[in-house]
Amino acid sequence: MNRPRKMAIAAVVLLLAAAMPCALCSGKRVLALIGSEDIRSSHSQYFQGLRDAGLEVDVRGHKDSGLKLADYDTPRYDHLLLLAPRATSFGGSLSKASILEWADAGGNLLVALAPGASDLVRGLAADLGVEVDAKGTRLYDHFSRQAAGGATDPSLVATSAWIDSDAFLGAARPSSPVLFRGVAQAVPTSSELVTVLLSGEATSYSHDPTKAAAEPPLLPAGGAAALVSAVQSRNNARALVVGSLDLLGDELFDAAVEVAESGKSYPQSGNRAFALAATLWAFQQRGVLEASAPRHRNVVTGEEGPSPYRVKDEVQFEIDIFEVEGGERRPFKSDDVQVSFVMLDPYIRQPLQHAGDGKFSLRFTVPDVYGVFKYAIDYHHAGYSYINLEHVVPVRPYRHDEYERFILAAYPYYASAASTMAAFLVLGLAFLYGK
Amino acid sequence: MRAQHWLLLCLLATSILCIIAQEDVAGDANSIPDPAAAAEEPPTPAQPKKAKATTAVVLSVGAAEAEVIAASGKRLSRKAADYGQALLDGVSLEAGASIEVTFTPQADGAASKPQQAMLLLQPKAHKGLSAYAVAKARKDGAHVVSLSQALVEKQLGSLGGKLSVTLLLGDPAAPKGVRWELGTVKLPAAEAGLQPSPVYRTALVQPISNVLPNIAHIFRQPDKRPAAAVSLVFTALALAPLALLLLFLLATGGLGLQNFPTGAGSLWALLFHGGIASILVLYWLFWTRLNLAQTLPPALGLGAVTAAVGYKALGALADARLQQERAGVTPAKKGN
Repeated sequence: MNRPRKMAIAAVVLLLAAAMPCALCSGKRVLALIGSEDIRSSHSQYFQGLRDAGLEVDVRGHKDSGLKLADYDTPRYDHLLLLAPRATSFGGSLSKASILEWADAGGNLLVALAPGASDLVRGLAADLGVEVDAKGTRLYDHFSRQAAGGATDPSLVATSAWIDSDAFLGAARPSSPVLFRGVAQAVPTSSELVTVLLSGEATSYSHDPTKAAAEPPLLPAGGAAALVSAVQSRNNARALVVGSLDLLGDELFDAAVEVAESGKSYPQSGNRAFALAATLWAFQQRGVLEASAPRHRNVVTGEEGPSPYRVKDEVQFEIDIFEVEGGERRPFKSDDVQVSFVMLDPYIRQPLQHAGDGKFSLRFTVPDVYGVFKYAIDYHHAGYSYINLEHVVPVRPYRHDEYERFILAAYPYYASAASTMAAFLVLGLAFLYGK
Repeated sequence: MRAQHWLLLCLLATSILCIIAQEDVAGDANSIPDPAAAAEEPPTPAQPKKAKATTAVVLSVGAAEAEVIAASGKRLSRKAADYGQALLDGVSLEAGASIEVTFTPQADGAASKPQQAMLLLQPKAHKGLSAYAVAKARKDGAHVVSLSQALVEKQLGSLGGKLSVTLLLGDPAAPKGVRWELGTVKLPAAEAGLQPSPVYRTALVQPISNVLPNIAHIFRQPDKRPAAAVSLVFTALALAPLALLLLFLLATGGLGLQNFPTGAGSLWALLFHGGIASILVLYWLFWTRLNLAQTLPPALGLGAVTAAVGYKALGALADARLQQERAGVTPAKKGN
């Protein structure tokens, strides 16, 4: 009775842990802070796109009095859209610290930058783990830039170097280059929580015209110049740092693209598709995983949640993983979810098998080492929420009577014991009653 | 009023003169220069930053020169090529050695200092990775850029094999950048097992998941056992003495039970030997299926009964022998 109950409690706890960040993911309330009133009209298509996706966008000036992200611990908004790159302070009770605190509680954030972004906004990006290139710099590309309509501005860059990931961008990718005018970011390979969604083409570089050119690797150039990067913190709250406020604007949404060097032209830029896809990811409308009901059983006896295991038992571990996209729950399909069976070191680490119905399982033989083991799943795949769970199962050795009996190699010993006993009986009879 | 008219006329005249002068120098009829700016700055393309609002410059590069410098600093070879031709032809770049590429960017034919003057290095074996080397301007307008293994390693980690080298020139004043495929250089092979590790993530090359190598537990191998035939032969050997004993007893008639008691003594004898046999059977059951707790009670019971019955049976045997002795019949003496 005790074991199933324990297992049930563990499952409930895990469910809660998995569901906690998701208490917000169903949230639809967006606070959009704009740096100037023009943005209402210059970014109207972007706002409309978000509203069409079912989000409730509340557009406010960044200096509005009475701005508040949370009433005590109850969030007022689920997502924050910060379209005020030059803001030096916020109205109401909003500050960098309060925004970060709200994000720590699970709030999702989009920060738009621009050349000349304020220290406040740069600092916010830095606290999210994204290094924005120095003040005064902007991204240039003399080869892959917008040339439609005779444009010559080398800082209006056209790039097709977006991440090839369904988790971030959905099944469809932008069909034409994305136009970008803004500052580059640098994301070190070691930053585990950040993923670069959009980079410059190989010919781009970040530069401050008033200063001498930096030397790489300090100079963000080519792909290392990150234009849009995505952060997913350990509590599964998300943030998107967009280097260009204009990328989200109507002007570039509608612009036709002609790439300067190649001369290739496209009727419409990929900005709308890219910007909305990336924003919907950041606002938990895509790539959200729900892991539930981890369970295990002994394959031979069929016992559910046996504890402890016996060495060399044949057991099966199972867990349900579903993907939530725009409120719709469907089975997750991936071959890279690994489970490990760990006692200090992993003794077994194998990918979970699935049949496409959201049920992931692994059947294995318990190692011939006894002690306190645990199942551990630590799933980090860029664009999907993290799955992190552990479940302890002790493993015991064979009991004295569980070893193999009647070994062929021991037959001479059995035979000698039996023959001694038989001889004792026969000799007794012969001695007492023989002639 | 009149003074103002004169002033306007003068301004017009100077601006027309300025336009003519500008066109002579820049040779570009499209631009409409701002007279104030044109008057302030000498119209050299060396300062494209200010000129960008006014002129559209054409960037170009004439010839370039590559010099291989050994790790010792010794200059090994030198090669020059005109724009568009391959300058580097798979030159091997040993550790410590470097290649210096010298070129003179030109704007509208005059030496200039464009905003972007760099070499783009792309490893052929790893798509999507690129390293850069920024050119430095010398006083005479020539730009020098040095390539080495260390430079690539600093940006992309350890990496070997062929790199394609492209010269990129670009400037905000020039609507078109200059791209010149210089050819390839060859880096010494990377140490076995080392993968390139770029310093920065890019959208196309970055770790996507934390998948770790799979681990399967290696079970301890069971001890080696003798072949079945060997075990069976030794089993037969272990049983051989019993077989020999039975043969001997049968041959000598030892199993004839000639002295088996009759009457009440026979009942005790049967019970006694049955008791011993059942104790032996209990032993066997203990080894095969019972545990100690299950075995001890019947063992105690059987033992007590067998002891009591044995006392009677052996007593009866002894009585029988005594009676025979008293009757003067000496029973056949058995060898002990």
